[in-house]
Amino acid sequence: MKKMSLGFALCGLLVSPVSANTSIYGYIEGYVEKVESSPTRTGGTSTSEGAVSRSENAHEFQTPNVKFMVKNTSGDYSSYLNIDASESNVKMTNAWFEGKIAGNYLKARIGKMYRKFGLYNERLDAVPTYIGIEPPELFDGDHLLLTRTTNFMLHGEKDFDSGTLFYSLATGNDERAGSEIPLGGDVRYTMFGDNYEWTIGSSFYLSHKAKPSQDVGSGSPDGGVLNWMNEDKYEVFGVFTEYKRKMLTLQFAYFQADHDAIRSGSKLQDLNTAALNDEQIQRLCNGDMSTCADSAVNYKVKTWYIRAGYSFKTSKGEITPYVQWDSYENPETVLAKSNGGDNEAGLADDGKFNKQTVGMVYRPTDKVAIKLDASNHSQDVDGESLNYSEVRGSFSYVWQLL
Amino acid sequence: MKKILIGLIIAPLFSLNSFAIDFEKGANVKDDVSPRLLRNILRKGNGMIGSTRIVISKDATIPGRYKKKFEEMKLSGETVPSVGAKSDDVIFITSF
Repeated sequence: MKKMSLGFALCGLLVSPVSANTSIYGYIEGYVEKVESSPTRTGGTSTSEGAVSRSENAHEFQTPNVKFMVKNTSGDYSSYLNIDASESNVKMTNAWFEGKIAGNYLKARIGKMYRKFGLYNERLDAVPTYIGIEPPELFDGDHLLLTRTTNFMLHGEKDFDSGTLFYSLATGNDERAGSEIPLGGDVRYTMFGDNYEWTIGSSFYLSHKAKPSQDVGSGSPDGGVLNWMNEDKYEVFGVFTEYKRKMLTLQFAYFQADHDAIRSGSKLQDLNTAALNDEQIQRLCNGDMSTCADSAVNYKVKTWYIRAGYSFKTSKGEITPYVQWDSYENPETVLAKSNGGDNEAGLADDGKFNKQTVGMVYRPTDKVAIKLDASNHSQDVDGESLNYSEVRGSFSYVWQLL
Repeated sequence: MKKILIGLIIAPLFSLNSFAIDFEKGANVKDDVSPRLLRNILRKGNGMIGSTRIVISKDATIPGRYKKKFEEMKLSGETVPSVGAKSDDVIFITSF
């Protein structure tokens, strides 16, 4: 499928030669973070939890985004290629070809693309432009609610006097187990006032029968199916809004995923028991991880966030202070990303954590964004509220060749 | 209090034309383009009206809020207005 998507995108690029309709651009992001001595659990056995202790973390430098993008538009057709070279293996993030079926009312896109889902999924590669450094929890890489990309999308928009209605339906390989047709959709309305823009929308996703994308020990899943499941059928539904008035931006979103899954007893026995807590051992394997059997489970993942920012124009550029509150709850997850769990919800007794963030974006020019922020993570661990903090900085530069 | 209330109601009326856009429709462009439609298209960050490209004059100063939206849409893979020369096939924005 990857080869096919790349083929479609390259065909789109080759349809018309490099001209004024072709743009070649991208951006580079440098990132640094320092997490305060963070809590972790070690020493557990198959029947009882270990102890929680704090471990020191060295500050860490990363280049999470090294992007190369090519956009071509030719009449009713367009194509887009988005290549990421931030890791040792260069990977294709997006490669799609789009044609208008009925003007802007109906367009078909095929290849590999970010699905339209909430405020952020398509925006996350526009790091220099949005407030905040980390994505909202529903699109945080270690506990995605669903796959970020899909393969075929019908979408469009209809203009009204007061604003525009946007709509989309998408399907693809996603995490399907066989010949299922997973289906995602998004509808939103943006009102354009003289001094404001107000977007209200809703997104949904039906996975139908799905299977894990990663094995236990192989890292975070590519979508919503946890690594230790035999199969899962889940539905995601959410609402979101964004209000912009002059220099003010306010955002709110709530999403919930309802899972109907079957755990694999043998995969559960592969979990690293050292990091499990008593609640997880009881829930996953009735108190003994060495005797795990296949079991059915229904659970809900809930997440919401609120974000606010206010921009000030100065002679030296634009400064935007912002605040964020993220909440995430997943009772099924465990500690350790390598198992397919995560280090925040997986540490908590009830799989729930909150994160409060304060930060600032400084844009000295249109092409440069410097972001600095600090977060406090809070969760209940062994019956007590536990907090730790993290500071991070992001430095991004947008370049354009054509 | 009454004056403040009247002021709050009247103030937006005076700002209706504060985002005026001067543009020229190329000879081959058949679509009807109203200033309000063009403004909303630009606020969405779209670079086309129907199949017609939107081109901004090199001499025009693009307001910050449009510029930021164009950047966001461009990095999300969408077609945004380009800066270039006037032609018969484009909607050409001369100033904001």
